[in-house]
Amino acid sequence: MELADDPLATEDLAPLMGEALDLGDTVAVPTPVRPYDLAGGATHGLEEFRFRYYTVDDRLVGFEDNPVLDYQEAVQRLLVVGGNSALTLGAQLDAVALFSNAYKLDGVLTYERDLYTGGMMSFHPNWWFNLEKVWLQGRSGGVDWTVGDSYAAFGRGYALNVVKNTDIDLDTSLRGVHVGLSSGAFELRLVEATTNPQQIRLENPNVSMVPDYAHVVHGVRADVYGRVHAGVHGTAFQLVQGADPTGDGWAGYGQPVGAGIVGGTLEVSSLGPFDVGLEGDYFAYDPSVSDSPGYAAYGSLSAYPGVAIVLVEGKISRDTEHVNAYSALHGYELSTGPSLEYERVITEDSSAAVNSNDIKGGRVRVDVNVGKNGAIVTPYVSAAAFRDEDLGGVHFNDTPETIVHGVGGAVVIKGEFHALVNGGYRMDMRDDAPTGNAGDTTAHLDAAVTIPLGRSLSLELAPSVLAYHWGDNPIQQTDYLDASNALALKIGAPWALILYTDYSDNPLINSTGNLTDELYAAGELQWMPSTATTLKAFYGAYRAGIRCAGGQCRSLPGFEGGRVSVTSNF
Amino acid sequence: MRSFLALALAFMLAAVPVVAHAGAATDFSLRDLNGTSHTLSQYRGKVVLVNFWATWCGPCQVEMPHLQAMHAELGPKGLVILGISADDAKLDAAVKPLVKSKGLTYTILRDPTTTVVSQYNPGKTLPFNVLVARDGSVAKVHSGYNPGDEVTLKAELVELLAK
Repeated sequence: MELADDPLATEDLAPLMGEALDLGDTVAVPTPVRPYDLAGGATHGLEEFRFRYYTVDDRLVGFEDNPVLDYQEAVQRLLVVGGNSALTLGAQLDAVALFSNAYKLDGVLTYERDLYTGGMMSFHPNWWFNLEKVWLQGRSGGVDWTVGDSYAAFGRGYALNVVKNTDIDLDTSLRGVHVGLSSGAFELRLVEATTNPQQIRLENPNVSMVPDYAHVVHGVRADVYGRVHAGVHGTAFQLVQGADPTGDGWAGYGQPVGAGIVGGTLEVSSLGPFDVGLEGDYFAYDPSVSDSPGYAAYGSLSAYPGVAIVLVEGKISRDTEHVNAYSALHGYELSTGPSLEYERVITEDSSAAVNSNDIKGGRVRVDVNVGKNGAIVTPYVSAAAFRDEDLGGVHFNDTPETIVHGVGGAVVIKGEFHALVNGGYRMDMRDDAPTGNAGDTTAHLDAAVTIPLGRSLSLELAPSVLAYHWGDNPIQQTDYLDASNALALKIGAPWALILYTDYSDNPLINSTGNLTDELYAAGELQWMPSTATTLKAFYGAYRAGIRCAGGQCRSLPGFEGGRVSVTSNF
Repeated sequence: MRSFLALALAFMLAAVPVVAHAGAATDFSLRDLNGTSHTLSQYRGKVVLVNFWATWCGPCQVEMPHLQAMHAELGPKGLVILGISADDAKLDAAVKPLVKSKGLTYTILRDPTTTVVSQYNPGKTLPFNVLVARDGSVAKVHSGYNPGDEVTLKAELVELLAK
């Protein structure tokens, strides 16, 4: 393969890498760094504001015609990062306020919606300010360090995976010290911190907020990069298992080490026609967390024969989830490894994670490039088969299951037209199910299509539908259908008018529609006065449910009412 | 009611964007898919387009062919595109196959810890583009992708390359 054809080669550093070169040549050779002038610092950041009017269906007895429980919420987020090539200082200040959240009848408080609970301090019962993140980061030679909030992931995430995922209103950082030492191909990373989950939610209601539960994280990871990239890591977690009445963030240091993980990774690029990735981890627990140790192994192999792209993954895991037992109560995880699931059809398991515990099996995906004349046309098929032995809890199964899932779809991009379509069928077969009804099944289809209409107009559709059927199951519930669509008319660059519709007859979701019990509708007007600023006005309702992004999921509430939002990157 | 309006007004005023300072873009160091380390500062003297994306981001995939076309046309004139994958560590295996399937030849970097995302794109909007001028200053940022945005983006890059 010619270097120029290597899609992973870089223009400026091509001589330093590439499939045609010897192994030794693929090792990183630091390019001389020409630091910027220290005086030439910069400040940039993010400004976000939300104001929501909640329409509440519930009524006080005797006031059925009077929506006195409606209330309003304002949320403000300001994140500023400033610095130069040597130092960066960043901070994120969030604020939330509730309005009309108490109702008095003849001077007597009849109902109040609390913004926060005991243990949290504020100068006003309906206001809360929080310095969510603050950090100082330095770089010099082969050393980078952060004091304050940072993020960390080791290997594929089994040993440590605490990263920002604002798509689902999730932003847990590690507050402490994070140091990286690198020399050529070698890198050493050390983390000593406590978890710092984001307190104030930007896109979801803030009520009855509780103090942080700051678990302690100790971590070390060493890597050698090159065509063969090897790494070893170890983490230890002191888990806050009960309520921390002080909320001072230091309670974790008084706890025993609840979980410890050691493991290693091996990545080989261009091993013949293959890229190979392997990871293995061992999980040890304090008896207060789990009586049995855990383990995880994951492997991936990709190949690129002709116009095809083949990705094969396999994994086996057992009792890895206990490390997250306490953080998951607050909606985030310390450890998340690769999943074999298609995340848009998650219907079970912890709302904080894609179904990934006590799994053994594999998945294969084949994409084929068949586009011509400048068009990208890439159909694909994917098949997964695995055993799921995670039982009890929020899981819907109390016996092991065999799950098979086929997914197919395509990406088509030609000029301004594009379509991304995915559809599949999942079967979830219980070991103890009597014959005659194969198991729980899910049929799903989702798409995102943009159709240019000319004159700077375009139409976008994002439909999705999911039909769930219960098979033989002692906790039999009601079959259900979920469907949604976003229909957007884009008018030039700055304007968009969007109509959202949701449907669900799933009795388990905790919301009701504004048109009928099952049907939700909403409209939104978006205006982008500049490429970095977006203003939105929304009115209507959407349903509650599990929403996923980037392999993480969270159960989020529905909404009915109106809201305005401002987002500006500066 | 008066206090409510005052509080709402205070929030709205606070939401007005703070005036940005012109100055050098914050430096960073990330590794590409072959493990080679790249810093932003090593590209000083070139126009750099820093593009944040993820494998699960549909609009990012739609934008990619346009970026590839810009790379082919403007690369010889001094444009460097750094495509930073913000995919979580557990999605690592999906990154290279997607890059291959789109035929991308510009530099792809990995930021599995969202460290650089947090510095430049704290809202983690995807895609997200940062245009860095030859002198290392941030010239423009673009949040999201809508059809036709590539025309504006290319015009801005051509203007920066001419300076």
